[in-house]
Amino acid sequence: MKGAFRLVNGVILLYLLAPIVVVIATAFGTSAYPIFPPQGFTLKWFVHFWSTPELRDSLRISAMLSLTSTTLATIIGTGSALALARHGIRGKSAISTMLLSPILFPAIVLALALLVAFQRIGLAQTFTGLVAAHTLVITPFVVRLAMASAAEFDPSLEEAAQNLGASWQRTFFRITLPLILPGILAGAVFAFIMSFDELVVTLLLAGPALQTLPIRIFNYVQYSSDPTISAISTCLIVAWLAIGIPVYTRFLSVRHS
Amino acid sequence: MAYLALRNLSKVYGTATVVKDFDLSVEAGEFVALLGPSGCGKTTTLRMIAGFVAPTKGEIWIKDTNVTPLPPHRRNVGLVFQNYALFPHMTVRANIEFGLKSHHVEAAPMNKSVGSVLELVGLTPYAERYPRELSGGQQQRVALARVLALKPDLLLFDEPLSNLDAKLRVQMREEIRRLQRELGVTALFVTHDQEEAMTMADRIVLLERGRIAQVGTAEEIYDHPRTRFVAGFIGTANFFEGSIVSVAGRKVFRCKSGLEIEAHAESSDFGAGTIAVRPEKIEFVSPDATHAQPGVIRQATQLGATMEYAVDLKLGDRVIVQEQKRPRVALRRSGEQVGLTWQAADTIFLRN
Amino acid sequence: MRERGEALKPWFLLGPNLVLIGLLMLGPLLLLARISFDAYEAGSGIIDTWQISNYTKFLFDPFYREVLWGTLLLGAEVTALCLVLGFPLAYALSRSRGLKRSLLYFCILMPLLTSTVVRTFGWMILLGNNGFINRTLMALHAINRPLRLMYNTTGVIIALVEVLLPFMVLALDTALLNINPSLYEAARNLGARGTRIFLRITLPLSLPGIISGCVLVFTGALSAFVTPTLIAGARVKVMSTIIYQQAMALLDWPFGAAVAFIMLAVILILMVASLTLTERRRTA
Repeated sequence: MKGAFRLVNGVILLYLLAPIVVVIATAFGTSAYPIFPPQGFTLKWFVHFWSTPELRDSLRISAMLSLTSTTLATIIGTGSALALARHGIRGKSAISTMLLSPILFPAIVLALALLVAFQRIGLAQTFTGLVAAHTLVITPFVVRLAMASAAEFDPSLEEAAQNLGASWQRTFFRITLPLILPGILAGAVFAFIMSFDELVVTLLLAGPALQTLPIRIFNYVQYSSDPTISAISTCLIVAWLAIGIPVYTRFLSVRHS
Repeated sequence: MAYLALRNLSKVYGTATVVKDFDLSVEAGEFVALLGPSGCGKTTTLRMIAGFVAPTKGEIWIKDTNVTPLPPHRRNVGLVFQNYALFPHMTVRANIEFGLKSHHVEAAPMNKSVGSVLELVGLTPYAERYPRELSGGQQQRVALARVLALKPDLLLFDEPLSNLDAKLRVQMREEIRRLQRELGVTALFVTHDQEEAMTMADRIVLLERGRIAQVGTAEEIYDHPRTRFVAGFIGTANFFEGSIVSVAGRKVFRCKSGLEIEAHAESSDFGAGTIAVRPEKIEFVSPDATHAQPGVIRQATQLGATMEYAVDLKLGDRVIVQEQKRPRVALRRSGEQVGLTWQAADTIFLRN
Repeated sequence: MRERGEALKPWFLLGPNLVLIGLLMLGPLLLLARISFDAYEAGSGIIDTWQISNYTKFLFDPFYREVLWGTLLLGAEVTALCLVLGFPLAYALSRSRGLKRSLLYFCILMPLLTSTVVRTFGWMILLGNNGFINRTLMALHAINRPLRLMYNTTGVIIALVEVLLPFMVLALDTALLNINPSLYEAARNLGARGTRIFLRITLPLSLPGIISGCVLVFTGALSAFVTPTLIAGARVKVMSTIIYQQAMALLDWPFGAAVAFIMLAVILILMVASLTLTERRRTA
């Protein structure tokens, strides 16, 4: 009974991890199209990724877009988190639901709405438009994680600081900010990953000049088969695991509590 | 003018009046306890003095300065929080330095101040520790050292001992009092613990539902409570409701049950009211002694050095009596027939 | 003075985010709602009018009605499979401690940290006619001809279940962890055995997690775009690919908008239904 249960779970786990294993494995295979199990061993697809100008261009666009929108989202989201966690305001739960709602909407719906709106004001197919859209989509992650940190923060610490003669600026920068920083950073890292991987909204708004890395991958795999995609994907998987796992655990513990 | 003067202080939240017409003068160097049950407005009063709550009405004067419009960080009033509110990301030293740096104190005098307050509270070896590495009592001392370093005009304590265990609490009482006397600093101490207030304070301000019920020394309040609330909150008391009547030229308090008590009352005291008698002022005599109230012991409770007996009088009243244990004297038992007697001078008449 | 400043501060802090939501979400959604009642004509573009034919077209035209049912059916199948595969995994996760739990957790988190495009690409490598699955089965002589796993609903379901499975597992894990362990001991103390404990204690008490996991997965399947597009191409039409097509290729935004709002309506109905279900259980 117990053995059968373990076997079943082993198969399910295998199924869950199969595509990732396959993508990573094919990145190192020598054949001209991704085949599993891979034959031989090579790093040429990684070299190809790095030496293809259009791919490097996409990497640059993606990085700039994610960094800009993450910065904006972190500032905006931290403000909201502080307001929601620290101040008794009316309609608090309604407001927080509204602020978190961009993650609840299907991306394709939000994408079409933004496309229609941006077309009218000339923001479609612009970098500014992409930054605006990404900021909207990723701010909820910052709000959620920073809010959890801010809620744990003991407000009497701020009073103690003021009682000891600190101005509100000093209180904020020396007491409040350092203590809620882990939550803000976790939110920022998570928002960055979400922005970097975002496809659907970007696809509708980007236009030919702003091909982000996910769009490039999406187009490549639709019309051709090339282990370079495996190599790019492997880079992303490793990078996100490295920065994301500690943060993601935090995100989940927040969601669970 | 008094060192600290609270004038007509009131705080209203919506329809709830939390503090009403609070008037108090505190002399320099005095240690005053604000005592009362939870929700009596004592903490709100403290927070108004510290500047975290703006009074709806009234003024706060410290050393002839009206501080009411000043923000918290401009008041030079040191507050020791109930949960200590130590900065968890800073060492003991950094916690103490924080206030000095806020006041732009230079490095040399700052180090001197930090060193001397650490010595004062006996935490010099712990300067580089973080708050979480300290015991409750040590954290308490850091909280105290942190405000003392600023040489505040006024020290405020918000139930600072409520998170400590019983033994440590008694020890910290003495230590806080010693430091306060040594430094000659004026202090206001909020507590709901009457024993804490009575053992520590020069004067007690007893609060009831946002108003001052009585102000005085521990003895004054214990021996001469002005209301039934005060008599019941400080210590315990037996209450008899009735009225003072004149019987053959003497003034006698006649209870509703028919019990008659010889009352110690001013000549003007007539009419309905309550007589309070402290349990330790009542004596046991034989049940048939003259002027004794006969009754039977219903319950005997061990209080350590004293015994507490619940006695049902023949006339129906229940009376609590405390008796010191004595060598070679047997304890009384439940069911025993007894007589009770007390001096008229030990009765307290509280007019309704 | 000070207190009034205090009262204004949260609104000052919330301001940028409220503007962001208002200008970039509520505004565009309102505009989209308005446009869904406009008309579209090839050549002349969007015509400003008030009519409901975009909605009726999607709901009553046989082709589109097929898409709607197809999408709902896909959602139901994916949800059911996720529940069946997710429960044993979540159960094992909720029962394990220490390093074993961390390892299992890692295995479930890793897919969530990998983008859908990448994972779907992995499935394309596995599911193709010359892919790993078909080659293995042929080598084992289990089949003579490659199974068709790409460009049909089967492939989409295989990949989509994998994409959405972690959400189900995490929702179930939360619910299972919330069950007080002493309930199991009490049940055992009262003489109940494995199956009975599972049916009478575990299953009913994890129902909130089952409901929230199902809503999460169904919503995800209903609005999935990347996986159906890459696995099935033009062969399988779902609501989101219709919206994309209208938006990008045909430029019939009014019709795309109508489909988008029908999708939102389906999700809304689902959420309200599940909320009432959980709420009724809580009050009962």
